[in-house]
Amino acid sequence: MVPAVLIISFILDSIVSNFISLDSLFFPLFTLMALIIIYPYFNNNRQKYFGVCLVTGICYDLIYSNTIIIHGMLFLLIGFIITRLNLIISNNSINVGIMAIVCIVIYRFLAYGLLLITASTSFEWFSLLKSIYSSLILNIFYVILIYIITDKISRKFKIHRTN
Amino acid sequence: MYKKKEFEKRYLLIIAVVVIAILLVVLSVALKKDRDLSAPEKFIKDCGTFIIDIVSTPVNFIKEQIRESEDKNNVYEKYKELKEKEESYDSLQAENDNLKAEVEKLKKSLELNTVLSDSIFTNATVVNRNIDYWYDEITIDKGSKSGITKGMAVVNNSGLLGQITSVSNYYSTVKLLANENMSDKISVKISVGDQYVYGLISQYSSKNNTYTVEGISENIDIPKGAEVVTTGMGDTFPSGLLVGHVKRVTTDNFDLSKVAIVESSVDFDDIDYVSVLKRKDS
Repeated sequence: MVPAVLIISFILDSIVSNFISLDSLFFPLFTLMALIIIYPYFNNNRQKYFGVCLVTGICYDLIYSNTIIIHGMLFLLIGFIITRLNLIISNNSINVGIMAIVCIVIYRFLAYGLLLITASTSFEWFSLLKSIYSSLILNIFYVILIYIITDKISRKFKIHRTN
Repeated sequence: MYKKKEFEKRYLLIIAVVVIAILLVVLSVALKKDRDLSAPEKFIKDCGTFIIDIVSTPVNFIKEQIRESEDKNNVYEKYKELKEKEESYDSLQAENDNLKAEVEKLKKSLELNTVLSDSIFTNATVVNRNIDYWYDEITIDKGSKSGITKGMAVVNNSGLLGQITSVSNYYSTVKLLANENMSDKISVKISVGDQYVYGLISQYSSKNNTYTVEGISENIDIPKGAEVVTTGMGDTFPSGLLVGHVKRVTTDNFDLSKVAIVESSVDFDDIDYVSVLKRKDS
C-alpha cells in the first residue's frame, strides 16, 4: 500500500502540474499528502516512516526542484509533525483533511523561510499567503479521496494499520 | 558544580552556533542557482524523468487529442487569419532575404564572425512541469548528449520562454520567465518607429501575464502595442527574441524614468514544444 500511494502521488504531482494554469487555485502537493495517508501503515514504526519521508524528499529534490536536501529536510519535518498530529487526533476522512491543512501551511512557511534565509527570494506576505491558499482546495480533496480509497482497500484485504 | 554548568552552557551555545552556520552554508549551496548537477544527481534525474515521461505519454496523448478537436472547431477562423497573413508573406520573405544578405555583407566588411542575433536551434518536448510555487520550471527531453548547456535561451513559436538552468545527460531544466522572483534582469528594447528604447525586465505578474520593464530613460512616447525584443547584451539571450507587446506606460515612484507594462507573447500555461537557442559565439 505504502509504495503504491507514494509512487502514484509522486507521478501525479508532475502530470497534474502540466494541466493547471500558473494563476490557478489548484497547486498539487500530492507527494506531501501521501505522507499523511501512509503513516498509519507503519504501525508506529516511526524510524522507518521518517526514513521513507527523507528518501521521498530527496527524490523530490532531485527530480523536481534540482536542490539537494531542501525537500528531504522539509518532508522529514512534516513527517514528524504528522506523527505528533496522529497522537492528538484519530484517523478519519475529516481529520486527514485537517492534517492536510496544517501540513500545507507549515510546509509553505518553512519553504518560504528557507528561501528568505538564503536570500533566494524577497519577502512578500501576499506571495506566501497565495502559495498557501492556492494549495488547499485540490490537496484536501486529494487527501480525502485517497484516504477513502485506501481505507476500503485495507478493509477488503485486511491490511493492518493504526488508527 | 556551578562552573561546570556554566561551561556546559557555553559549550552548547558554541555547538548550536556552529550547527546553524553549517546548516546555512548547506542551504545556500543547495539553493544555488548556477550549481552543476553531480553524476549521481544526473543519473537519478534521468531515470526518474524517464519513468515520468513514459507514464505521462497516454495523458499527453489525450491532451493532444482534445487540443486537436478544439482546433478543428476553429478551422474557418484560422483559415481567415492565415489568408490575411499569406497576403503579406511574399513581401516579408523578400524583405527578410534582403536583410539577411545585407547582414552577411556587413559582417564581411566589418570582419565579424558572429552578430548578437546569430543562433542555432534544437527542438525539444516538455516532459514535466514543476510549478511548486517558487520553482517555476519545466523539464525538456534534451540534455547534454544533445549539446544543451546551462544558460541557453529557450523559446517557442510565440517568443522567449526562459533559460536552461540545469542539465543532465538526457533531460534539462528550464527556468521560465514566468517565475515571479526572476532575479536576473533581462535587457530588452522596445521598438518605437525606427528607434529603439532600452530597458530591463524586472518583474512578472502571473495574474495578468505581464512583465514590468524598468529603467526607460529616453523621453520618447511609447505607443501601445509596441514590440519588445531582447537586446542580446549580456551572456544570456541572443538579440531579437520576441518578449511581448507594450500594454501601457507609467512612470516610476520618483518620476525619473518610464516603466512599461508588457504583455507576454507566450502563454505560459500551455507549453508543449520548445526550441533551445545556442548563440553562435557561445
